[in-house]
Amino acid sequence: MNCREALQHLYEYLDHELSDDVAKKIKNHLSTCEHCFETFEFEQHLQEMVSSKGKLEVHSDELKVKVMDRIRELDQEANSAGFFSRYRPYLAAAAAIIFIAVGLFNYLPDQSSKVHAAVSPFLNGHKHCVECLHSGESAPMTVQEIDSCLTSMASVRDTFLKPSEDRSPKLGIVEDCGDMKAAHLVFQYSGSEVSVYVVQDSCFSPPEGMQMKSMENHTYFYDSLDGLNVVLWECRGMWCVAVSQLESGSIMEFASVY
Amino acid sequence: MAIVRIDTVLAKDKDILKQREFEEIALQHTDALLRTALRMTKNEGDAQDLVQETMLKAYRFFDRFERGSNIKAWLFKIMTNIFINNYRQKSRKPTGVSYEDVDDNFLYHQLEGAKGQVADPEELLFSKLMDADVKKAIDELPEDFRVVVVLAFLEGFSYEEIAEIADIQLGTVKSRLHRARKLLQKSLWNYAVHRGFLAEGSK
Repeated sequence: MNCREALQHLYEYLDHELSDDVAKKIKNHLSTCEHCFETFEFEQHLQEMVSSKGKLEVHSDELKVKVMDRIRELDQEANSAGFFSRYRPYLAAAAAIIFIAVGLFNYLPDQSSKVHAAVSPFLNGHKHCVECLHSGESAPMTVQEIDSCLTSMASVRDTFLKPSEDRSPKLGIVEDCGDMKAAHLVFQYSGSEVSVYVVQDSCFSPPEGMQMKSMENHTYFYDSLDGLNVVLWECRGMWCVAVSQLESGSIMEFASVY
Repeated sequence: MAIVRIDTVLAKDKDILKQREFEEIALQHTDALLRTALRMTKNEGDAQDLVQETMLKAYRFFDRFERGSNIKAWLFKIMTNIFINNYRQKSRKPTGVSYEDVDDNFLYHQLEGAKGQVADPEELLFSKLMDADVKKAIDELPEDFRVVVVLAFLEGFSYEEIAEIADIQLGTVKSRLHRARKLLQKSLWNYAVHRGFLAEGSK
């Protein structure tokens, strides 16, 4: 390699952009040619100076906080939008039932508003409950409000579904285990007993086969049993449990212990 | 009976995991993004907005980021796109500086020429040139050159990464860097002469 060729590759050499082969040839040339060596050395120093003196000082701590706050906000918005959109199948189904009911029994026009009145507090109430899961104090819901939405829910259930032994939950003993709050909930489902535990202490090992999720302030459990999904969480000192069908996602039971 | 998808509960959980992962691997590049955004927009407010927009877009498409690949390059590519589409001034000023009449290794040759006047012109240049001079020399580069210089010299990206980030050919990266170096050398020399610690010598 001669001086002209070496100088042609000077910057690629400094930027480590040459193949090992060519870089080696240049290195060899530099060890024998003082002029090229000095030129390369100067250019390298210059580049190092530009890199160190040219770097701007920035402070992005505030920006980082702003970015993450906004991200959490957007996620929350997306979730609440998603939550209502997930109700659409149910609302559509309810509308269909109401339509049929109205069609068949024209003398029962008040049924529709009754359903609506019964369903909406539950939907809103349950949404609050789900929000409770993460935000704790930020959900403006009292125990009475939860109570009333559960009652509404029961009334919807009783209005439209025949009570069945399979669906009635036998809820729950809240066991006081010293510092650790625990609830033991027993459900009958399809003739078999579903037993679930809820504990607040994340050190507690869950019953065998149950999955544990630790959130910021508490723990909830979920399990899949015979096509059922069981999720438990604490909301304002009250244990909430939802049992849903895995396939359809429909809630079999939603209840609380406090 | 109400129909509620149980994954509503789990969705929040997924969000939190995603947020944590993003915080862990992407957020640490905010400094680098902001430095470069300042070079691009030359305006503190715009730079902050640009970086925030970049981060939010990156989070939105975080699922598409191939885990294990270079996240810094990925973030810079997003930022460059947003900058080109939303921030770049429509009528960019043509460069007033000409690089055509600048020789290769211009500065080195100028310093060689100055050896008659001072003992060690190189040492003088490196020690006396102020940070502000270097920063200004970079800022005064035409935008296309400035961006590749910042990506290569200040953020350590390879030619290939720069080509990907700026959406240009590899050859264009090389030629822009080469010209940018000439322009940088010329302005650094001018600053040195202007500050009076070096003078035009006879070649």
